[in-house]
Amino acid sequence: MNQKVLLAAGAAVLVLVIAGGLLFANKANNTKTPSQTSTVQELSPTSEVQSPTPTDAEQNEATVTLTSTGFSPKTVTIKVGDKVVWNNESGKDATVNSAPHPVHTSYPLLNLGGFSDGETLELVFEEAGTYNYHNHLNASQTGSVTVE
Amino acid sequence: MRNLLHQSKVQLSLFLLLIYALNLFANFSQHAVISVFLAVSAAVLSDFIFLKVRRVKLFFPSAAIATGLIIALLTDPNLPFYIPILASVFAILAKNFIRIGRHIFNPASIGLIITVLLFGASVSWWGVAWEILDLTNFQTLVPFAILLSPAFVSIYRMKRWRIILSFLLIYGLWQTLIFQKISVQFFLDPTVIFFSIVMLPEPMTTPNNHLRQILFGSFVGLVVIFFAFVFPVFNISNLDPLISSLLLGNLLFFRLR
Repeated sequence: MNQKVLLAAGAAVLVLVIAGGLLFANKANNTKTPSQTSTVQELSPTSEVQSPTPTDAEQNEATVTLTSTGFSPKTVTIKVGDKVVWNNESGKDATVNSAPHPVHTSYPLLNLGGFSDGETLELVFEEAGTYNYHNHLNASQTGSVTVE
Repeated sequence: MRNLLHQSKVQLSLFLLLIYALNLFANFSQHAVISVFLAVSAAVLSDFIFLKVRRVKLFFPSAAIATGLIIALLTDPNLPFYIPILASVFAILAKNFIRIGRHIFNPASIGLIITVLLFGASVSWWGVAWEILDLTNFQTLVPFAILLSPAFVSIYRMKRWRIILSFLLIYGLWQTLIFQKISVQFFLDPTVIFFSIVMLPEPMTTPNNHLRQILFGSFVGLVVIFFAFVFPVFNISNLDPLISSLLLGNLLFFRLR
C-alpha cells in the first residue's frame, strides 16, 4: 500500500515537472519581443565599440564597473531603451548573469556570459522593471538595473 | 587512525579540505584562511558543548568538521568573521536539537539560511563556483576533478547516487525547458555539482529506501526552479533556491526516511 502511494506521488511529481516546465517555457517565449530578440544578438562579449547608428543619439548609456570588491555602482536606474555597459576591471574572469544563482531564470536576456579582465558586456533594456544580476563565478558580487 | 580514515564523513572532510586548498592555491586570501578556521572551530566546539548538554557520548567530530568546511566554502569570504562562526553554531544547534530520532535538516544548509534571514548574509558559493570545466582548456580539468572528488563518498561509499541522478535529471529537464536548449553545462555547473554530491545526499537527512531517494532528489530538483521563480516575486532574492529547496525536502521527507 505504502509503495503504491509512493508510486502515485512519483507520478504526480513527474506530471508537475512536465506541466510546470511547459508552462514556464511558454511564458518565457511569450515575453520575448522582436526588439529583445535583436538585442540578444548584440550580447556576445566584446571589447569593441559598435559603430554609431541613428538611434544611438537618443540612447543613454550607464556604465557599471566590476572590481575585486564587486559591481559599482551596485544599482543603476535607466530609461526604457537605454544601454548598460559592464566593464571588467576585477583582474579575473567574471560573468554577468541573471539572478538567482545558479539557475539564472529571472531575466534570461541578462545571461550575458563571461568576460575577461579588460573586456565589456552590454545590454539594451527594452522593458521597465528591476533586474537583479550577479557574477556567476562569485555570486556574492551582485547588482541590479532599474528600468523606468 | 586507520579506522578513522575509513569513516565516510572523515573522507568527505578530506575531500572538502582538498577543494579548500585548491582555492588557496588559485587565489590566496588571508581572510579566507581565518574564515575557514573559525567556521570549523565553531562547529567542533559547539558540537562538543551541545553533545555534553544532551549527555551524549563524545565521538570524533567528523560531521562538524564537514559542516564547518561546507559553510566556509559557501559563505561570502568578504563578510565579517562572525557570520561563518554563527552559521556553524546555528548548524550544529539545529543538528543537536531539531531532531526526531535523527536531525531533520541538513546542518550546513540550515546554518547558512539562518544567517541569511537574520543578518542578510549572502551565500556566494565562492569556493566552488569558479571551477568550471572548459573542454577546450586542459588546465580546467584538475580543479574540476577535485570538485568531483566528494562523489567518491556520496556515490561509492554512501550509495546515494539515486538522489543525485534524479535531482540532476529533473534540474536539467527544467533548465532545458526554460531556456529552450539542451546544454551539458546545466549538469556540469560547479555550484550544482557541489550541491548535488555534497549537500543533497547527506545520509542522516535523506531517505534510505531507493524509491524514496529518487522521489526526494526529484522533489528538490523540482522545487529549486519553483523557488527561483517565486523568490523574486516576493522580493526575497537573497534566499538561495538550492539550499531552500533542500531544507524543504528535508522537512517533507523526514518521516519517509
